[in-house]
Parts: sequence; C-alpha cells; structure tokens
Amino acid sequence: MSDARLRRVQKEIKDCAKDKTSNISIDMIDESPFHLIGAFPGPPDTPYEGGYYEVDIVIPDAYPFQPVKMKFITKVYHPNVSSASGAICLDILKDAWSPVLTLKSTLISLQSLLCEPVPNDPQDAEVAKHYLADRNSFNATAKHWAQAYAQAPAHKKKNEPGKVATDAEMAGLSEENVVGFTDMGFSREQVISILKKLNYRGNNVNPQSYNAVLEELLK
Amino acid sequence: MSDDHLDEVAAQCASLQEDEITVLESIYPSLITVHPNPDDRPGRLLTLTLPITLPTSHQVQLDTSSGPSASLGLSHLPALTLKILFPPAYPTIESAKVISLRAPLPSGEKLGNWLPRTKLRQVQDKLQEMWEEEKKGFGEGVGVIWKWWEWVGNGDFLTDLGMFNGPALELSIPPMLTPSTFHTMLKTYNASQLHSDFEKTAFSCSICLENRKGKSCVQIPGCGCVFCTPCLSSCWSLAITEGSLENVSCPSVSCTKQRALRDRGEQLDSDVDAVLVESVVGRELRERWEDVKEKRKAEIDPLYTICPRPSCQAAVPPPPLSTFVSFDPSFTSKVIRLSDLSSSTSSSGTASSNDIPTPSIPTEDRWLRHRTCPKCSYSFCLYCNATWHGPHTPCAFPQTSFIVSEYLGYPEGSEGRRRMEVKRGKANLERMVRQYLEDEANKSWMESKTSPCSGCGVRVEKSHGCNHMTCGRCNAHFCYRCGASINPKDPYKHYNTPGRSCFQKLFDQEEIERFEREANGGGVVVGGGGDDDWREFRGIWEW
Repeated sequence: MSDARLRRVQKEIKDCAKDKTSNISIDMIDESPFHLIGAFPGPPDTPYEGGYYEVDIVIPDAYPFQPVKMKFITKVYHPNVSSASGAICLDILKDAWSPVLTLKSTLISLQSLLCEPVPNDPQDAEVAKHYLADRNSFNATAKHWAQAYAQAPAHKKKNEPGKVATDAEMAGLSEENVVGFTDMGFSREQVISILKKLNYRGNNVNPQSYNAVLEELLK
Repeated sequence: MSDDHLDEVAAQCASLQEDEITVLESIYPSLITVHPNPDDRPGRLLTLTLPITLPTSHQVQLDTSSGPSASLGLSHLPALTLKILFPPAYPTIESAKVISLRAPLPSGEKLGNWLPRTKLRQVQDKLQEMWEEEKKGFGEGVGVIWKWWEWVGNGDFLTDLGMFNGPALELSIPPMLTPSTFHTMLKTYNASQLHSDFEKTAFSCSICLENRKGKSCVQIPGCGCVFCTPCLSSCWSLAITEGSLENVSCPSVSCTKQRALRDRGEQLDSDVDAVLVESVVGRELRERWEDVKEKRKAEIDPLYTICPRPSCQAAVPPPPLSTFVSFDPSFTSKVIRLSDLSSSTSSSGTASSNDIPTPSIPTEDRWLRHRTCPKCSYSFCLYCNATWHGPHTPCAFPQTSFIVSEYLGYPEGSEGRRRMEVKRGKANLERMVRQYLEDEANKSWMESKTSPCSGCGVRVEKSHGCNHMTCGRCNAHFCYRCGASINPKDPYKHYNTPGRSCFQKLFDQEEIERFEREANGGGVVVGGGGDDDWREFRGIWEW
C-alpha cells in the first residue's frame, strides 16, 4: 500500500509540474515526498488578489484513502482559516474526502474557498464575526493581510505609495475607535485585542457595546 | 469473353477474396473460420460467427402462444452462424453464396435456433440481394461481407424484418424451450457479453491514476463508476478495519459528497452487496463488514442491543414485532430507572411469584426484556445483561451497589464489615468496592467533562473547536453548551439568534483565548477543523 501511495504522490507532483495553466505548484521540502509545500496565487477580484499563498501538506500513511492534511503557512484573514494556526475548515479535508481528490484539486478547492467564505461554518470565530458585521472593513483587513503576509502589491491609492498598514487596520478596526479608548490611558495593544474580541466595528459601534468594552478594559 | 480474360478475372478475384478475408480476420479474430482448401481449388469456404450488439439496450418481448409475455432489457443477442462460399468469380462477377444460416441457442446446438426458420430464410434472401445492390451502385461487384456483418451485427436486420413492435423487440419462444428457460438463456448471454465487453475495455483508475484493463477493475452498481480492484480493495479494507462503513461504497467525489449529506442511518445502505464486497476484499473482511454493519444499525436503532458476552458482542435485534403490539414505549428504554432499582432491591432477597416488585407490569410485557443473541444464542435480560432470569425474577445486579453501600456504611474493621466478609468473602467485597468506586469516579467525570448527544445519548468530550457538534454515531447535530438539538439545515441559527442563552457562544471564551495563545506561541498545529474533534466514550454507560 505504501508503494502505491509513493507512486501516486510522485505522479501527482509530476503532473502538477507539467500543468502550466492552473498556476498551482507543489514542491518538496526535503527528500521526503510526503511532506510538501503547495502554493497558489490569491484568486482575482478578491481581497487576496496578488497575494501568494503557501500551504503545508502532510500526506498521511493511508493516503489517498485518508484525507491529506493541509494548513496555510501564509497568514490569511478568512473566516474559514484560523488566523493564528492556519488550520482550515473545509469539508473535503474532513468527512467529504474522496480518494479521487488529488493534491492539485484540493489546492484548487482551497483557492475557491478564498473566493467564497462560509462564515456560518467558521474556523476563526473573530474573523467570521468581522465578516458578518462589516463586509467592507473585512475586505480592507484581508487586503492588508495579503499585503503584509502574502506579498500582494500595496494598493496604489491616491498619494500614499507603499503605505504600511497600521496595527488597527491589521485588526480590522477603525483608528478613530482605537484612539477613543487609548486616549483614556489604556494601552494600545490591550484596546485592539479587546475591540477585536468584542467585534467593535460597523453597526456594533453603539453605546451598549461601548460600555461592554469599557467593562472589559477595566477588568 | 476469352479464357485469358476469365483467368485474369479469376486471379483478380482470388486476390480480392484474400484481401477481404485478411481484413475481416484482423477486425474479428476468432469469429471467422476459413475452411481448408487442400486441393487449392478456386473459391473459399468460410464460417462466420456474427454476434449481435444493439446500439442501445432494447426491451425484448417474449411471445408465448398463450399466457402473459415476459419482457427484459437486452443489448446483446446470441450470434448468428453463417456458412458461406466465395465462388471463384466473387466479388467481381458473382455474389457470395450463403450455404447455411443458423441462430444457435447459446447453451446448446441441439436445441435449435432462437429465430424461427422463416425469419432466417428472410435474412438469407436479403443477404444475397445486398451484393446486387452494391453492384448497381458501383457498376461492378464488390466485397459484401463487411456490409453483411454490419447489417446483422448491429441488429439492423431485426428492424428490416419488422420484428420491432414500437420500441420493443418481439421474439417468439423456440419450440424446444419453455418461456422461462429462454428468458434465462437470453439474460445470461447478455450479462456474459456485457461482462466480457467490460473486461476488454481499458479504464483509467482515478485513485492510482493508472490505466487498467477492465479485467482488473470493478464497476460500482448504481453510479457506474469504475476503479481498479487493488485500489478499491485498499479503500474498502481500510474503511472496514477502521469501521467507517459508509465508505464501503463508491469513492468518487460526487458520490462521497452525496453520502456526506445523507443521514447516518441511510449512509449504510450503499449500492454494494456482499458478493461484490467479498470479491474485492475477501471473505474475512466481508464477514467483518457485515458484522460491524449490523452492530452499527444496532447503535442507531434503540431497539437493538449488543450481546453482553465479551467474546461475542454481536448485535441483537428486538424480539419479533408481534410481541410489541401492546406496549408502553417507556419499557423499551434501555435506561434503568432508579425507581426500578430500588423497588427490585427491596424485594430481591425473597423473590417469589407473589412478591413481584412492580405488579403493574403484566408478565408478557416483562418478557420484552428477554433477548436472545442470534450469533451465540446467549439468552439474557436486556436490563441487567445477566443470563435470562425469567419474567418473575427481578434483575439481580442492583444488589452489588446495595451490598457495597451497606459494607461501606460500616466503619473499617467493625463487626458489621467482618460479618459481611465472612458471608461473602473479603476478596469479593474488595473487588466489588473497587469496581463501585471506579464506576462512581467514571460517572462523575463523565458528568462533569462530557455532554450527551441529543440523539443517541452517547457521551461526548470536546477537545477543542466550536460548540456545534455532529454525533459520529447517529449523526445528530447538537449544541455542546446546552445539549439542545440543532437543525442541521441551519446549525448556526442557534448561535446567531439574540436572546438565546447560546447567542454568540459558538466558540467558548477559552477557545478564543487558546487561538490567541497559539498565535503568540508561534502557531501550534492543531488537527482538523471545528466540528470533528471530539472523543466518544462507548460502553461505559450504554445499555
């Protein structure tokens, strides 16, 4: 069985190298064909456009009869990807896996997951809340992450060439809201962490949640 | 015409005949016999076997002179046997002559033809005409065997003979056969042809990504997907060994997705049967597959139970339905109620026919606790798992906890304990106490650390991930926080409805903190996604 596994993985790597149209790459890290790095460009017309995403691939012993283990190496701001660990929430990596799926087709599925988030089945609760609360702000943050972590070219906006995103922008928060609390004397780091946790953005910015933030800061 | 000219024509014809035979032999090896021609006389004698393959499967109606006609769908009909003679001047000047045309039944020459003589005669006449028709078209005679082959081989002759009644082909039963024999014969022939067609075709196995001959492939009934036998065998063997029986089915992407959407109970009803499974994974794993499938059904169906004998563990179905007609569903419950225990404990010492603990239950209903294992024939009580003690004797097992609590009630080294030790044996009592304490510890751990599934009650411990759980055993969706059932169609509504106790509690605070810790700690790998990381505790509190 392990022979068949080796043959199949080698074939998959070769086929993927031959295929120039899909833009998916699969490379070996060392001499083992069972621990690989896959990579693909961020899908166009998404905040991830222009970014380059690397995925850690571990081929289990019973591959292809057990799902391949994949997680993002590149940090991604996406409801179905843990912003901390890169863990991915995708059905085909779990109970909907089929031995007919290949490394390439799985990576393509990851690419399309970036196009169509499933916020109702989140891997990262905070990001999912952000996505549901304020789509524009979510997109902006995802774009900042793409620029900071996935080498997406910085957006040429009016007169700010190569501007680096602030920590508030990276957390998907408005500078105004952050400053509102830091002015009270709380540390910026603490304010950002709590605003993020309480999803203090868009419509969630109201007197009631304002009080909740204060309560949390004063704990 | 001069003799020279005739010789020339004969030489030309001989070469044309030779060419025609070579071409046919290369296309249909083994279907053509060229009879020996020892004296090398002009002309050749051939026997052709023409199998009939209809372009699509057709309904075939069997005409019986009396009674109802049976029908079946066929795409292959038994071959016609054609004995022909090439005269010296074929194909230029003369037609090939049909010496005999037969439609032998596949299972025996002596049984006669599957087409009536009159039809065969018509076929023969038509074949002879074809050469004339070709001649008119080309201006001189040409090889006609290919044309014959096509006309017979793809079933066009059946249409030309007017044997179709609408879309259905009508066949009359040969006089030597009964309708059912003929029916079976046609069906068997069709199946064997389909099988040999399959074996000859090359398939690309999408698991090993290699090309394989159909001979070493398996086609899944239902969806028709084809995989090579070694791959399917690895796939199914692993599924059976690991107990993920729903995967003993078609492994294609679309079939897998469809299965994942179905209920756990239905997932076991796959398109594959025992014969197919055995042919792929062998007898031993096929038996295991059936055993585990039966057991899985038992886990889903609350009326089933598992044979308590450690060496057996087979699934035990409820007694036949007739005994179940008039009964209160509460008595089928496998949960032993405390009230049951205490009432039977109080009377356990002197159980007799006039001292039945719960006289409100009629005797026939108490027979419902009786189970017999279909595999090892062990006859036992559903409530206490002990050997069947009859409907009148209460379950003996609560005595254990009764004795243990009495024993522990006395202070250590007291007269009470010594009396009990003499009566029951010190080692026995110690064993019982150990067991009792362990059970108690298990029970309190289970209650503090696990949540029951809302569907089957199995205890589930969440290691990490969100609070939306999917039971690995009965596929029920439920909330780990409050234990409520969740609608699988819209599972997150439970967490997104303001005012509910679980509003915005899809992830617990510690879960979010854990994410953050991992972020700071450089990203520790955590397997899997949110829903599937839970462990199941079987066999501890299951009844």
